[in-house]
Amino acid sequence: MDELDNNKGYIHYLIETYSDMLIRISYSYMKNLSDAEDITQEVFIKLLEKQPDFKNKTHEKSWLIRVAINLSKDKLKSSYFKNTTSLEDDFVDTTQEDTDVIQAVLSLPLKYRSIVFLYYYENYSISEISNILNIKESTVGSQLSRGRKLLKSILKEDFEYE
Amino acid sequence: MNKIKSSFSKIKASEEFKDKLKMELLNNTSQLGKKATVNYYPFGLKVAAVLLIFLGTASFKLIINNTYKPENIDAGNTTYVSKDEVDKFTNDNSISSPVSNKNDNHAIDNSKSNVKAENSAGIKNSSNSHDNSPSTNNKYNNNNNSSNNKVKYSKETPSGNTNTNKNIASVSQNSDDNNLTPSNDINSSQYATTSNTTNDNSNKNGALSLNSTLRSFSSNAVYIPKFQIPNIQEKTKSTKMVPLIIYNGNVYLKSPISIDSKSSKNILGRKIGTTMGALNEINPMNTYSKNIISNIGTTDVYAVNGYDEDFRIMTNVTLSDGTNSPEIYECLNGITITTGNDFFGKLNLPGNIVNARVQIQTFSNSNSEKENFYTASDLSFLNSFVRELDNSTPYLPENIENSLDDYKNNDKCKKIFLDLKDGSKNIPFTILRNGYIYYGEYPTIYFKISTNFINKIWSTPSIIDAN
Repeated sequence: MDELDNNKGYIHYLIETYSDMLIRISYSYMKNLSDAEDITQEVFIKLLEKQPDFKNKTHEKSWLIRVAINLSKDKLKSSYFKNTTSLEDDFVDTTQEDTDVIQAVLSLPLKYRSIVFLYYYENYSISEISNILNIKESTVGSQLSRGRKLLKSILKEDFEYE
Repeated sequence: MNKIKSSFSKIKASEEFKDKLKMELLNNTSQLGKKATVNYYPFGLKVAAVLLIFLGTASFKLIINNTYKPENIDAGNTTYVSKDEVDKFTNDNSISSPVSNKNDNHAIDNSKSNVKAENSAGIKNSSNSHDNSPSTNNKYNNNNNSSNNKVKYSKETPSGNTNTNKNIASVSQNSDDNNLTPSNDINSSQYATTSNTTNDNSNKNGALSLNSTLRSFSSNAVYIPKFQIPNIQEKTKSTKMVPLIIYNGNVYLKSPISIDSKSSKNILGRKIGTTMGALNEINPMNTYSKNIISNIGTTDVYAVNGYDEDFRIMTNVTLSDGTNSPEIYECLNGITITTGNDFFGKLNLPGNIVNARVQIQTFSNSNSEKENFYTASDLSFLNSFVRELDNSTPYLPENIENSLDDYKNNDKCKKIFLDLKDGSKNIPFTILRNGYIYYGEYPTIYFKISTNFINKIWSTPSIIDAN
């Protein structure tokens, strides 16, 4: 019984803490909510199956991000996904301005998208993104810069570039 | 860029989805539990059967063949690797390392040496030693329940007591389990994992992970376990390996320190050998037969002048334009730390710092991708910084991280990058407002420094903050 309670508590904690983040990350890849939800669910199932030993919360979070990104990429590569089209555009409740920004980010090439997202939304530093995505810091920096330039060109005057 | 944040914050998991997910995960958990329960009993039976066969075979051999003769066993020099095997691996020219090949031979093929052990002593032995570190101490202990004979197993102490040339399974009739130090226990369990992986020849899709469990043996001493290549059960195959070199049993990870092409010539030490780049996520264990292995491709490895070879080594690739591209690799695992000097002493900081830069990064800076560095040129500050490092006390992350909260902002943390006379640049330290400091890009161990020094940093902005 205690074990069941612990499981419930842990699952509750996982969902409340990470589901929004994972939805956003996988959404940034899949561009639709239902696939993002599928991937989020798969990430949690993988976590429960594998039960990795995490050093700390940061490690746990970056593991989840990494798995979500990998699963998203796998799904994008799958023939099923390539041969199907999402029925709904999206049911995300946003203003037109938000939609423009989201669509601008989603229109970035895949390699820039995750970096822009991790940097600007999750507030990861360049070195942390480098660790999570296992690419060189200099690459992260340059891709971030290019992604930002692209964003700027996409959003033009609408985008308040700092 | 705040717009990105605010726009994406609208994308959320719906409550309905969360509820469904909870139900799904709870069901999933219960199914996993059932599987574990179902599999457990047959697995236990298998283990019992194997043990029975093992004990029976050992007893049978002892009685019938009478092969076990204590007088034939020299506790110091006996090796269970045949001369043929030694020759075979000694003649392997792919590694040009001066380190004793005799030790490697044992590591090369554990399964083979185990067979030898079995044949010689008549007792099946699953040697754990794949590590040929000079710091290996051969304490072999195994109480064999079926006989009076005792085959001792290799274990390593992190304290570095050495008996290097006797690294191959030796046999003694006297064992004293009570002599095992806590560090032996740690390594025993650690090696059990690694050895299992080593002996498993199946194509395991493993990956590297840091065994994050840091354990303390006394009030201050902390042992950082070695990196290990996990087997498939460790569920890390979805991660990728960090760049690493395994040499002499030490695992060297790529350091964040940078060195320019000119300086690399000054610090380039003797050539240690050439790595085989066959270590990868697909088959991480297939290169343990080599003395220097890595996952960075085939490249020459050198010692670093002025630094202990057990701590730091480097690669140095000469590019087509004639410039060098050095990379530093550091081994800061598999060591016991009592004070900060045990750790930071390896960095050769005293009197060598030529420049220090402090990164001041507020959220606003971060948001606009500005990285502000300010030079800390106050010599007394730098000297006291080094003194503080040497006198600091190590702490286990698991013991303190809960109290640290989120410290990734300028109010609670500052990053200092040191440049040294030998050309080493960007040696990174992160100082936390609540008195802890760590080295490198992420914390594997924290050190507590004096509150006065911390207060000095935060209350005297002129020292490090040019704002």
